[in-house]
Parts: sequence; C-alpha cells; structure tokens
Amino acid sequence: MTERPGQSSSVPADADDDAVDRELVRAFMLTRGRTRAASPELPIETIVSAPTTLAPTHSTLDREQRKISTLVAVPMSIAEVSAHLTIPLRAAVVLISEMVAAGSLRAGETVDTSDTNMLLKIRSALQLL
Amino acid sequence: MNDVIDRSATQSAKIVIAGGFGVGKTTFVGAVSEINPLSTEASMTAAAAASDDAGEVDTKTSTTVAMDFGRIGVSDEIIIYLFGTPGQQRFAFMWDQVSLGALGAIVLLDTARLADSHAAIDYFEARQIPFIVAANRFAHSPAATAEQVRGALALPDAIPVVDLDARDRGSVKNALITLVEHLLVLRSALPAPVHT
Repeated sequence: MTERPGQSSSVPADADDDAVDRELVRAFMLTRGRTRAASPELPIETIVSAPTTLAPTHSTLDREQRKISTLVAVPMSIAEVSAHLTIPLRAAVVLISEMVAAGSLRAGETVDTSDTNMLLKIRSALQLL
Repeated sequence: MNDVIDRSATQSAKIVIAGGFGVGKTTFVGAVSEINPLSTEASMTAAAAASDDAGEVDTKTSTTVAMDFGRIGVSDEIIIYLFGTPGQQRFAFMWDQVSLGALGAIVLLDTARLADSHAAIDYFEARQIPFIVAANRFAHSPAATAEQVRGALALPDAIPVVDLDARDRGSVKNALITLVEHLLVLRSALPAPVHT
C-alpha cells in the first residue's frame, strides 16, 4: 500500500535476472505466492469473457489481469488464456477464478455431464464433423 | 454483481486423452481440433512431494510438463476441449485438475507397450471417470484384436475397446463418438452394445 506508482520503473534490472527460472518466478509473482484461489476454483475448460461494459473493478486490475481482460474480448477457456499468455495453468486458474469472483470477468457454464439430452446433442454434432 | 456465471454464454466440456509418451495424444487432438493444438504448462511443485515416486522424477523443486490441447466447436453454444495428458504415474499430480468434471477419457495406447496404460486406467476407475480404451495403430507394433487388448488389461466387458489411426480425422471422430455413446449407455439412454 505504501508503494507509489512509478517507483518500480526506477529499479534497474539485475544483470543475473536471466539466470532465474523466469517462468517459475513469474507464476508465483502473478499469484503473489498463492497456489489456491481465495474463491472457488473454476475448471480449466471454463470459457471466460470480458464484460460488455467495463467492470467497476477494471481500474484495480494489475498488468497481468489487464492482459487477460484484453485477451478474452474474444471468449476462450482458461486453458487457452494460459497457453496464449504463457501463464502456467495453475496460476491461470487462480488468477482468473479470482477475477470472475470479483466481477472483472464473466464465466460460462460447464456442461452438466449427467445431462443425457446434452450428450445426445454432442453425439449428433460429432457425427456431422 | 454476484451473478458471475453467464448463462447466455457458451458452455464447455472436456475430454481427457491419456497415454504414455509417443503414443499419439497430440496427433489425436490435432486430427479433430479446429485450432492448432495449444500447449500449456503444468508445474509440479508441492504436489510432487506427496507423490510416491517423486524422487525418481527429478530432484529439482519444480518440474514443468507441457500439456497439449485442442478444441471442437460442437455447436454455437457448446465447445469441447480435448486435453492430452501424460499417462505415467509420475504425472498424477496434474490428473485431478485435468480430469475432474470431464465428460470422460480416452486411454490411448500402443500395443507394444500395453503396461504404459495401467496407471491411467487405474486412476479413471478409482475416480469413476468413464473411459474407453483406444489402440493407436503403429506399423511397428503387434496387431491385437480388441479382445486381446481387453484380456491383457483385464478390462470389464462394459468398457469399449477400439483401434484407430490417430492421424486420421474420421478414425479419431469415431473414437470420440464411441466415448459419448458409452456415456449414454452408462446413463441408460442407449442400450448396451452386444459383444459377440
């Protein structure tokens, strides 16, 4: 809370930054060290999309969250967000679940696997592939 | 404000394609996916410590494994994702995230290495995740009938065993249909196929 905007830009990059496993560090930075979401975790196939109007929480999003928010102007699954932004899957689930809970993103439903009408619909569609 | 589930939006489902290295998972996914298969990274961190054979895997504190996946737009409202997940026991840390809530799974195998599929079969049986078994035809591998594969893996009659060519779209499509029909049989929405 005491950090001021612009402060981080004055910090020079360390010469050995590249020696660190960047992906691993990034995953923990993204989630601030959390490996579980504070809110219920969404399945990796959940389709997420940006709200049609800018969510009131938009100004509070950090850089990575904004990137996610921009990307899902075209709705896509959490797994696809993870692949496109090269965010490890675990981190993507945590970040996106929290953004959905905060109202920054919308989430689609996952298919009810016990719904036989849905399964019949899927079968017909596969037959037409 | 609290209605974060968008009921008007597209619904999604997932199917797991499990199998050992080089068994054709990514080829299978690519044969029917409407997008080029994408790759995401699953990290083995804390979960690995609890795994029985984590020590055999790697001594690093973190290992990552790539998981390839694709998607099929079934209709305007339904998208199915196909996740290819490594079938060996040492990757069990990522199975829950990929498999829980899945429609079902296809255990892809090479008849030359049947034992590679044991861990995945045991896992899906234990979690009661419906699955079928599919033998990918490799030129170098012994020909085996579905019944021989069933016998070698001690699979119950109720579990469909098919053979396929993972490079062939029609072949892969038929395997997916077999899985969905198996789900319908399990829910008594289709009669069980008669085995001769």
